[in-house]
Amino acid sequence: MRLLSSRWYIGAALLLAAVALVTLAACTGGDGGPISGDLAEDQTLRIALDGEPDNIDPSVADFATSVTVSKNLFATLLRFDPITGEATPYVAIEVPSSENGGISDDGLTYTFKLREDAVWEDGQPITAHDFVYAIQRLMDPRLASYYGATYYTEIIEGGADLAFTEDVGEAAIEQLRANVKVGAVDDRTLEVTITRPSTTFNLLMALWPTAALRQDVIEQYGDITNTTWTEAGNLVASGPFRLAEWNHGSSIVLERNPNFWDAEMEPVLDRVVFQIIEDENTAFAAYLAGDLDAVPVPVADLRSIADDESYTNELRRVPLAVTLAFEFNQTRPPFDQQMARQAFCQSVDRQTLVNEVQQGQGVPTTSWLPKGLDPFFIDDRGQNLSFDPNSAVKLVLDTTSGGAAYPSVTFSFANVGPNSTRAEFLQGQWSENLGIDVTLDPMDPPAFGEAFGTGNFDMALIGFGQDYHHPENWLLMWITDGGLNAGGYSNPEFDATVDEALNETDRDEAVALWQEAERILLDEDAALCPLFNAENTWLVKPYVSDFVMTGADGQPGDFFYWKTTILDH
Amino acid sequence: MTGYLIRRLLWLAPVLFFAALVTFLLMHLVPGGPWDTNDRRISPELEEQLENKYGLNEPIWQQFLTFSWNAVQGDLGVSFQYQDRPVTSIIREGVEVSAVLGLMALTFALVVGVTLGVVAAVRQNSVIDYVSVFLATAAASTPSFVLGILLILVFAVQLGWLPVFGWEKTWWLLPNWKQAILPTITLGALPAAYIARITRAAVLEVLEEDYVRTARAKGLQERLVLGRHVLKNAMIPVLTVSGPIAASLVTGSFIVETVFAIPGLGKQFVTSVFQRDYGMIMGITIFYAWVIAMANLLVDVMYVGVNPRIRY
Repeated sequence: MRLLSSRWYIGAALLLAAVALVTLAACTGGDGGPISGDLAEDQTLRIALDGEPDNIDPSVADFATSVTVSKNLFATLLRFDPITGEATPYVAIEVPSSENGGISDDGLTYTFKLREDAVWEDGQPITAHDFVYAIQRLMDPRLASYYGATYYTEIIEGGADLAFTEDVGEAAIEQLRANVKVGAVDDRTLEVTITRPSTTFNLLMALWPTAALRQDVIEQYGDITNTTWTEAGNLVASGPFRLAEWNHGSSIVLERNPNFWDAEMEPVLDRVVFQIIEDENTAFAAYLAGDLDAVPVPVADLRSIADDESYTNELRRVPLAVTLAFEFNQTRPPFDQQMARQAFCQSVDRQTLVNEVQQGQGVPTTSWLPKGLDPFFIDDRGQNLSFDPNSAVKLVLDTTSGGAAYPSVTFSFANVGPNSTRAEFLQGQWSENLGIDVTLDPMDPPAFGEAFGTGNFDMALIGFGQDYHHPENWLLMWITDGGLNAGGYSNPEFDATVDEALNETDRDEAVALWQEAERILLDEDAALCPLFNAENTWLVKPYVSDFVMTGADGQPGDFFYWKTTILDH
Repeated sequence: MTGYLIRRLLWLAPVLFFAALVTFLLMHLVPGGPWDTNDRRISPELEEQLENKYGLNEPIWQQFLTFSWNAVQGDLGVSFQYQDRPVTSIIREGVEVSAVLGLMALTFALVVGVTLGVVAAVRQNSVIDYVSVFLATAAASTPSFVLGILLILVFAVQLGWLPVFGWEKTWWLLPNWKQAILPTITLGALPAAYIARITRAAVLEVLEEDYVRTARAKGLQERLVLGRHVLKNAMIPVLTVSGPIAASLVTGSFIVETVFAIPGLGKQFVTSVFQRDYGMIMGITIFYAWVIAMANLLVDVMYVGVNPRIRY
């Protein structure tokens, strides 16, 4: 592994590209609200970061660590409302809609008007040209951005032609860049044309990969893929913080951006220090020694810390918009049969999984959409999959009525963090409740990634963390050959419902269609078996005020560093 | 001697070449590639662009030749994981930390190990002997992540004398001395125990030699007998093991660097394997092979100084 690195917990245990944006905020336990008291002289927040970010370039950032740093440095057109998860203005003056003329009648052209006063750290205005450059760069084949390819190339007119061109010669790329339908009408007006009407495009424009970038700054240090421009001293920020230091492998220091232009998001903190510590035990020791203000709780210690009253004011627990599940390979027996899938799912006691294996970390669920994804989430979704050993046994007996031996079944997973204990628990449940012996197949993450991606598994442990607050982000991946659908699930009815939902402009109708789609996926087809929603469990010193954790944090509190203050202590 | 040195240095080229070849083949044989670390399947189009970008679409022998040709010119390619940062600059940053920590730990191990070993041998079967053997056994059987966390809990959390983590350079490559103490002890404990055992055995053996009896018989002070005759000869086995120990210490320890959050090369190496970061794996392996070869060469040269019978 990286034995103790929790990045692997995210990268492989939760299997996220990024636990990214959008909040399910305030409804949760860790209130992190204001505490009364005088402000401390030294407004520095010292927080553990569980790995060196691969990069902090918004066009290619795809891990939680990278995203946390990046989104505090770079401003996007829109941002997410912490309570509703809806898009709200950031560099743009307003969110485009048909009513305000921001979206054309055919629903294909979006016009963003930019604030006059928005400037870069060095005082230069943030212009529409900076966004044009950033979006073109996001789709540049030489950069090969994962987020670009996943969310933007298909929807933005001309994007796919650029991103997936065979000819990566300079001239060909120049030509294709010019064909991407994103343009600056003037310095303060950006126009983007999309390939089909969409109810989620504004959300995509609130994600970090579309943040404005400075062509002159990037090109000053090399070609389009250079990283020199993101070093401290070179990088020019547009967000609430600027990059003061990046000591590779040790720490990243953000400083208040003196030229920040948004009064609401003006930080109180002078500095945010990210200490890069991969071992959560070390981070915990540093917290106890008073060297850090906020750290993750080592999972092995969660129970004892939760029971210890002296930590009551410091322990923060926030459920995440992250669902763990296992997926079936429907091209192989026995899971080509719905009854077998249902039986394997019904025989898992999720509550015990969370209590015993997870040390209480997480919330059991039978739904794929995470709790809090309102109004789409339904409480009793996946009821046919809930724990019911008697029904499970009956289903298995029904599928084996021919008298033939039950097919051998293997459970594949990335062997990092707590995954092996999770797998052993599941193995025990199937043995105990179904009488079926399942073979475990632990693999290192890239080996698992390859086996999973090529459909070489019977059952596989998977997880997904939300990028934007919409069921499209959760359900589009389950259409035939969709992003997480490696097990050959294919139901024309599901595909049609998703397609209909994507194109439905009436909000209530769309809600009903998305709910119907998830019903087909889970209650009808048992295409996968949701287990639990993950949870952030952190210790935060009592003198840190307004450290607001949300369900969509990369690193806890990262949406609200600008709000956080340090009290006298 | 000069001829020997030149011959040894010339041998370095084929050694490095084969180390690179074997690593390259193994790396490509292991299931899973650099883009498989996400569970969400990447689209075939994106995969193709990534392979184009890093030259993985070429035949494998051609990739190896390209790598070798560039490596000869000092270019080890770019890291896939860290968005195209040059491997050489990542190695340099890591080595500057790992090598300094490694040399500190080596010094610690030699000083503590040789002292314990000699004292134990000279006072064989005394309380001092038992205590030093006990310490050596304890150090040898405590895994470094346990020792590291234990030292942190006692000296950083409970007593508050030393910092928990970190490696801030203060002067040239040297760190803040307070930050260096715990990792140095943690990293040096196991080799210190090993060296103590070897020293004790070697000294006991040499003490039985005829020339030691002769030296004592001619009335030489015990201090001089030890210093001039015993220690010098007992150091040969210690020197033999010091080469590999030095090489393993200066190339960095994944565990110690992780426990103390030190930005060294050992951590990078392990991470790169699990990330299938082909560029980093090749670069670091070649570098390690070179360091180990040089350490062995250095030890062979030092034999000459210790034992006049050895000539090249």
